[in-house]
Amino acid sequence: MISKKNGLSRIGYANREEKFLDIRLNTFYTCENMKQVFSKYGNLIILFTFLFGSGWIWISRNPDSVNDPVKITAPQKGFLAPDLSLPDTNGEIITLSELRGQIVILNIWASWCTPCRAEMPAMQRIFKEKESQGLIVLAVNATNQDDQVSAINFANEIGLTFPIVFDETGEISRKYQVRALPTSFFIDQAGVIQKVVIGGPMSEALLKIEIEKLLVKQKESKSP
Amino acid sequence: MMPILNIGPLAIQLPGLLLIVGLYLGLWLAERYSMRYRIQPNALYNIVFIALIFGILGARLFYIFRSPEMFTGNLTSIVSLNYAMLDPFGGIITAAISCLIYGQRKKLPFWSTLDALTPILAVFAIALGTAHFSSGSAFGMATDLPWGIELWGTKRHPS
Repeated sequence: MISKKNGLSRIGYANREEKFLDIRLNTFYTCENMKQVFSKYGNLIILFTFLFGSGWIWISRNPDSVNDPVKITAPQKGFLAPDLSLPDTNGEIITLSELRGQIVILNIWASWCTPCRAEMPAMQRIFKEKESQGLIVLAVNATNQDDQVSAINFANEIGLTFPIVFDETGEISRKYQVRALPTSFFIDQAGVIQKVVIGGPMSEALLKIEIEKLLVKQKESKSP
Repeated sequence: MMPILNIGPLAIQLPGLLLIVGLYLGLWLAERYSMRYRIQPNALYNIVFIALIFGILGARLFYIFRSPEMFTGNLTSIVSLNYAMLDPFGGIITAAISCLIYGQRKKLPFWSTLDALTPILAVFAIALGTAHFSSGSAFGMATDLPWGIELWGTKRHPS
């Protein structure tokens, strides 16, 4: 009997219940067969699985030549921060790699961006508090989608004292794969990114916690 | 890696979208099979809702408890919308405990409820892996094997 009702086109099923019963029976018999096979060849199956798994792990092992992510630059936690050289408000060039040994918060922002503006006062307070311990905030203005005068006016308005640099071409935003403004990178004394915060505003507590972690790490690396 | 999906003028955060789609598909699948385990679909929806709410609350509370002194002068930071202030481990624990309490109060059979929840967890696990693959945030180790993908400066195992 051929039934095409309810979308069933296989020969022999009058309705869904019959098909369901058949599937259950088949499943039961399959399970019974598997039990028999396993009781007979169980040890061999386990041995094969073990050998196959070990072989798979050995083939997929991590090659030593490319084992150290710290040597690779990428805008991602655990990698070396991509280098940048940009002019600040006085026209002097600031290079990120020259700040090694210090903890850097690299904040990419624009003056029209409300969350960027909202987190700046907290960053200024933290900078003032921790500057003596080797913290530097490097505010990279995404000047390709902002204008320099507005950025400087905003910085003067709220009294920012940390360096502000201008990314006129948008090259740094591309290098750091910025998907939202603001984006902040917490970089340790070795130049390695330890935290990426996309979006904002960052709260003062978050800033303090992340900086404290980096300061502890810095102290540990300095102590013999 | 494709963190942003551009459709005309719209820029959609793909990892988030994939997680939402995963949760929706998981719920849809679980709803279809839930009656086999004699669990009402509504109970599943409630469990997922409770897990989400208490998971987020727990993740934030655990984050605060790890460094409470940082919040003493900044009480507004407690309700900050920044997702970086979440502790995933704390979130999972709180979500699991709150679901357990809900299940006990509603007298849901433990093992059958877990069986009914399996499709949600299975589909969500796939969505989570795909979301990581899309954002590039959970990348594999470096490799020179044929299935390696170019990510973060070298060829790597996909997430």
